[in-house]
Amino acid sequence: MRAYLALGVLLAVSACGGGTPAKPQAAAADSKGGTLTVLSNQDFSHLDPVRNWTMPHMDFGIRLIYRTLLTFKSEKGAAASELVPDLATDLGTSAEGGKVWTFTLKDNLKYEDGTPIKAADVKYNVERSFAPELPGGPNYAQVVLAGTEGYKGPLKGEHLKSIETPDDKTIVFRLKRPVADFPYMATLPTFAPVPEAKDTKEQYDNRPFSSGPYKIERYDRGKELVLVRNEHWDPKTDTVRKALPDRVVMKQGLRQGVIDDRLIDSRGEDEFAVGYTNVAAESLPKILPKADVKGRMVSEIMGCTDMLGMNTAKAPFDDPNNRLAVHHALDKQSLQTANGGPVMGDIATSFLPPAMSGGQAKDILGIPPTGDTAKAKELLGGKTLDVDLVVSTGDKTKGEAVQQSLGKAGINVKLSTIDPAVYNDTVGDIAKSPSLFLTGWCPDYPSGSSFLPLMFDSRLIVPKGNLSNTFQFKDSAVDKKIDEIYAMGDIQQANNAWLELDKQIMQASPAVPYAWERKPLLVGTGVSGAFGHPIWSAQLDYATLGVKQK
Amino acid sequence: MSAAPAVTAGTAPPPVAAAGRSPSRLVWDRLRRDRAAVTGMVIVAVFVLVALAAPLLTAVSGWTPYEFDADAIDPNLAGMPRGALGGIGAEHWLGVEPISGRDIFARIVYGARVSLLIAVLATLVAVVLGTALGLLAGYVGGWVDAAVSRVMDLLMSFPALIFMIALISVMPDGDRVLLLVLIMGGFCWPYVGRIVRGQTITVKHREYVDAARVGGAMGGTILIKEILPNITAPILVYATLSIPANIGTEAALSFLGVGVPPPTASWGQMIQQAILYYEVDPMYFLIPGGCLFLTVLAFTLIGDALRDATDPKAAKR
Repeated sequence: MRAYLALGVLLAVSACGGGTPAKPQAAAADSKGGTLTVLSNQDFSHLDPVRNWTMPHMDFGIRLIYRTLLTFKSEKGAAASELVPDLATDLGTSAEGGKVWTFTLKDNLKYEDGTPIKAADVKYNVERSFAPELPGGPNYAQVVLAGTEGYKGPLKGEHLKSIETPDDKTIVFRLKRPVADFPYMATLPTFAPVPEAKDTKEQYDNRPFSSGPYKIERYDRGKELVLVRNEHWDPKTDTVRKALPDRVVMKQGLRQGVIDDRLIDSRGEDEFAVGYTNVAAESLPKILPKADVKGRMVSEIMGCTDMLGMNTAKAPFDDPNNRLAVHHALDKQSLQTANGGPVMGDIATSFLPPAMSGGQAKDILGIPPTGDTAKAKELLGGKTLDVDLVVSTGDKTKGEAVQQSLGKAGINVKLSTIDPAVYNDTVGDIAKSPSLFLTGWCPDYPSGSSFLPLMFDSRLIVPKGNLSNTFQFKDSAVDKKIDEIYAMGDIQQANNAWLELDKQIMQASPAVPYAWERKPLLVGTGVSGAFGHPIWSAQLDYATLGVKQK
Repeated sequence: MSAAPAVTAGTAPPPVAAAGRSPSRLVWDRLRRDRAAVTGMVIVAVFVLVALAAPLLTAVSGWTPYEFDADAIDPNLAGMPRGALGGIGAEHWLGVEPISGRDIFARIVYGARVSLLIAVLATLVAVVLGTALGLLAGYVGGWVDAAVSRVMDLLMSFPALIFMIALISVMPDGDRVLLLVLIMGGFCWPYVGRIVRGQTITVKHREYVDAARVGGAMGGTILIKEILPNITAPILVYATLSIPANIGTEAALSFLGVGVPPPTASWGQMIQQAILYYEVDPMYFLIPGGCLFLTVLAFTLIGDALRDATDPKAAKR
């Protein structure tokens, strides 16, 4: 998954939405009905399914508003990474050794206006992901589909030959190489249906047309999003979504501290509220000592790796020796503390999170968690470095922790903070990218192929808007290895090869992985079915959330 | 820095004739008898001493302002300081910051340097600019007066804080302290300039100025020897009152994230960080907040007393 950004505390934006008092209606036994309130400090970057590539937002869109060909089970722990059919009847059939994938759609699938969902609508949306007018979404379709050279999307009436829809229920994808992971890709919102007649292009972001259990009643960007039931959604066609509440109201642009305090108190409508954004580190001392509040905090491992990234295209970090020195000098423990301590995450020792290395954390370089200043100095050979570090405003304490520990080894860090809204653009622009920056990566699906190639393949570097290889890391040996692993048919063999590649890149050190964080989210006392889904970076699974009957 | 309560210039005849004392002496005597002013001066003196002796003080306390102390915080409680009152004790005299464990005492004394330095220098820039341009506008008059006055109007009608944030954000990262001083000074001088211009216009028609002119004195001499000494009192009062305002502005800018770059300590930055913790670690907020309050109060007291002392109408007290 796309690099995610800790949005931190947005001081400026705090528009308290006026309260619509929730009326918890006495419903039948399964706590159906009521209004679920979602409290967030931010707006969605994108809700348009082909532009939505930010972890928690994908969860919200997929579980509530649109359905995809396949999806992940709605269960805790390891079972959560299991694929289940959603729009499709099965997990897809492959032919020609994995170069052709065919899916069949279920019967009785309908949009919010009662019209049937057709295979052509899925094709149309996949094509939309090529449109330069609609940037920001997952790029897997561009990477794997055959015959896409020069294709600029369907908005001007051009269509792809490599996606076929022989009838309204069947869709066939022709790929340029065998892709064993294709069913995983089919869980992305790129593979949700969008009817051509309802496509409002750039405006679609504000009002996606619903194929899921809820439709948008009102969306006032940055303030409030109100979802109501889509009466045409048939629960018999859906094994994943429970769709318990009648309404889902998301209040946006609240200050995180206010959200935390409201959920700690859990009174009035907040009893039926959940937090959308991470509990602020400063709020943790108010939560951890109270058992009842701590019990309402969901904090699952996100499956993402937080990294201190280095710009390998310019001095001094074009020299691998200097990069390795940073690797040794960094005090990961102080970063862990800045993130809320051991309760909130583990110290990372490799790029691939433990979930991808058989559940065991691999310590590749064997550096102590507080760093090895002596070794770092030795690697620098007596010289000192002057570098700049850019962090987003909310990450200042982390920045200072980096500054402090690198300073001990003679790497003088000039720290500046910039607004979260421009952070990704600054770091992703090869002309503006600083020497050091904080970044992170969450895989789209549990496989090394959704992780290492996206971050370290030199062929993905673009002049502006880099989200993945922000390190501008160019290593032909790594590129070659990636192609070799892609060609492997056996998933187990490929997994082992990804682990080997992880070691190889750790030695080259374009970034220092420092944390495998947990995502702390508070839920009100009247909310049921709350758990963090490991696929969507431990965001609550919105498929199962319900409001408890009084 | 110095609060300079002793007025040095004093060639003009005293407005109130008091038994053979010079006007500066008169002001000083009045100030000394004013209990509030003395309190203010003592507080300012203490903070100035603390700021000057920062390296010495931290050598005694044993912690630099940038050193992390992982032992002073509890990582299992999201990095809260160990112990009561934000970790106040023999090791850390005023406790530690949450998360990093940096010594608050060290950061306060080094922060005093930054906060006072910026405030005093910015005031100096404002006073020098304002006095020079105000004198010029008031004395020369005509189009010079019109031009300077319009510039002052323009600057005063700007929403200064918002403009400062915008300016500092787009400036290439040079020396932030210098930048803050120039920008804060650049926005404050019209207030001095207005006062000086008005005073100059009144004073320039006095008989002794005419006498000097008849005596053959040139414009520059008249300005410096005759007019300036007679308008020193309002300038001094303004300066003393604008120092606390500038400390507040620096704190506000740091609070909004455009102050001195981290890890440099300033009171504003400390308060900005501490506001997140006001519920769980109130000492972290109270200490820099208290220091800021005391300093602002002290300068305000001095300024008020100075105004009273230089006002001939308030002589009998």
